Amino acid sequence: MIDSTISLSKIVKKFDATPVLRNVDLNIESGEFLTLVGPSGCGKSTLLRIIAGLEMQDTGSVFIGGRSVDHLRPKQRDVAMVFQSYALYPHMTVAENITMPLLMQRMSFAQRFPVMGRWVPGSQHIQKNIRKEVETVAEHLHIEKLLERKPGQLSGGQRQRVALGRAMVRRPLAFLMDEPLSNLDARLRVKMRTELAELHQRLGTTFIYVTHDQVEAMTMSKRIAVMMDGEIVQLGTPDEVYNDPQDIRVAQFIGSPPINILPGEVNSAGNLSLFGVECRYRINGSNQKNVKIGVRPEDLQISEFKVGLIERGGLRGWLRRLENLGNEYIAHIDMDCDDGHWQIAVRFPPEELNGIGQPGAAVNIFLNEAKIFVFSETGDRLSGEAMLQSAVEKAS
Amino acid sequence: MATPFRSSNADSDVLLNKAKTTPAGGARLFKRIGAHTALLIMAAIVLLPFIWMLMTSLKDPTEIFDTPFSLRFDWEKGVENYIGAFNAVPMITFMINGTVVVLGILMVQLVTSIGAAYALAKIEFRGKSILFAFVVFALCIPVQVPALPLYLGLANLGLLNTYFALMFPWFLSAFAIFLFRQFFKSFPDEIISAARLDGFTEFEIVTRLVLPSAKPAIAAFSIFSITAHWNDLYWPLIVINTVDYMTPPLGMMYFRDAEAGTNYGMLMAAAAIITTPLLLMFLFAQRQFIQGITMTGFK
Repeated sequence: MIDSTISLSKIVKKFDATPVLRNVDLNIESGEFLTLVGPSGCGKSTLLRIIAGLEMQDTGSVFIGGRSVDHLRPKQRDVAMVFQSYALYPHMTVAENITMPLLMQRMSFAQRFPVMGRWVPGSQHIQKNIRKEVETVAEHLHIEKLLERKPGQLSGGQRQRVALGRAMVRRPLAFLMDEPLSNLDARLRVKMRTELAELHQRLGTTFIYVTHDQVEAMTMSKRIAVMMDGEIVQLGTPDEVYNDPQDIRVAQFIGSPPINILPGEVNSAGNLSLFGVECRYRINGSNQKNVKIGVRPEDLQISEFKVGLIERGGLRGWLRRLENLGNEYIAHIDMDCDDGHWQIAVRFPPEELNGIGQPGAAVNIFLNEAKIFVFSETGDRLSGEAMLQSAVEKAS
Repeated sequence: MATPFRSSNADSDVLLNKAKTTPAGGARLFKRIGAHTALLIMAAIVLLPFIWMLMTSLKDPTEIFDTPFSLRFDWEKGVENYIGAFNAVPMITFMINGTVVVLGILMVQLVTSIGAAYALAKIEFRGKSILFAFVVFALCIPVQVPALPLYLGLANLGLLNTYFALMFPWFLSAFAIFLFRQFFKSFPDEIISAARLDGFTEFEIVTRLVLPSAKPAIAAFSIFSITAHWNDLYWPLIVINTVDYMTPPLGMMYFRDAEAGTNYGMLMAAAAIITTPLLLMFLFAQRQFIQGITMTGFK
């Protein structure tokens, strides 16, 4: 097995005085599918370009396959990149586009010189081999019928395949993908997502995938690195990132509709309360007074308003709007309290709809304390534990 | 060639039909006629000297001043004028000289400016903005300013009366660098990144990827350059004084000073002859030229 690990050590990059990457460390295993996800401007694309050698880091080192590549030019690093705009060569046919990487790799400057190169010894033989490999890759991606077309005559999905073909053909140590699906329409994106994941399984090569789309990150990758402001704030499996966010920004970025953030208070004993209602949750060893409570829309329970439920720990809100997604509903709830106005989203299955649906009607909201995340004012995760049974179980 | 004309006629028929059927059609038709009339008048003003030249070349000397705009042509005299223009002076030599100089200048200009423009547009290096500022600054210097040192230099090297002397001052064109730099800027960066990863050398990026996209800009600049240097009188006048190296405009002057000085019919015939190559070139490259000027090379 070829070693195609990629490690980054203390990468710093500034554009003029603005820091884009601050001390990024990252180790990617051989054959892993790792996604760099974050809002635009967080430095994820720059990081990818540094790995590819298209951009030079100010300090720090990049290792590919165990060797330092800092002094190597992009083509010597043996990585292939797929770009958001596909970056196909506009004046070349699909076949020529896919041929180029092999041509550049295997033929000398003289051999590949237009027209004259044909008479340089050895070039004919290499050309023939290259043609065979290009055809194999084209068949693989089902684009063998498009080989003579120019990129301008292809649809977005077809261009995407050609770009993949051009990356695959020279069998690189790693694939770097910079938002490759963001120019496709929604339906095609879902399809290509599956195809990319399958391609990764088949090739077994290291994939580094950059996206701002958290769905792509969650569905395709083995591990996700969430980047914010030039730093990796959390690195973990999709499950860890979703169910155990270490930073409020991670919690807010991953998940759709986004996580609800509500104001909480902690008393001297460490007990948490929300909107003045005490929760069955205790913060471990922290002297924070005001905290932020994060709770995912599916971890809230909603029911028709009944006065009796308030006593049992329910919160009161007003239904603003109900979205029917077929397999689930999303309720947008207005909550008013002394601190001001809050809006929260609740996700629930159609079976739990009973009676909810009139905009403006009062509803009860129950918190599942076992599933909440508590963050400090500055956004760090605070550890704590739910006590006794959760309110949700009690109510039902 | 026939098809596009026919289709454009068909288009205008459709427009006219539409104009008739819609209520506001009459006003629109009127507007259209007005616009075309204005354009035709302006075109006539621009074309007038050219038409005058052609008319004069087809006339008897006595008629030229009596009735300059009469449409009475003396075809026999016209043929005589054109043949005379070739015989009175070495017209063929002038044309060959003009071609050699113009193409020589263009080749070197393209090689030097495309390299410089690519570097200024797509490669990051220290002092780039200063260098670009120099290019813009160079655009502002009139050609007469460096004429004297250039002349002295060429004279000291004994290079006067050579093709090299005719071409040398124009080898570097700030205008070309500027034009190509603006054009190359719009070439997508991701394609260049992809090419670098695929192992293209910078030279190959320019020749295989950027240049094919820049054809309109190259065509536009070529026409500018060829026209300017084919028509240039100032510099050939300074460095050439033998008939063997005269370019067409200088040849025209020589023509006037020599025997045919008062034969305006023949002079205009000669002028028509040396304008023809430029006209033909423009006709062939018209589409690319306009594309190049309007800079719509991409997307």
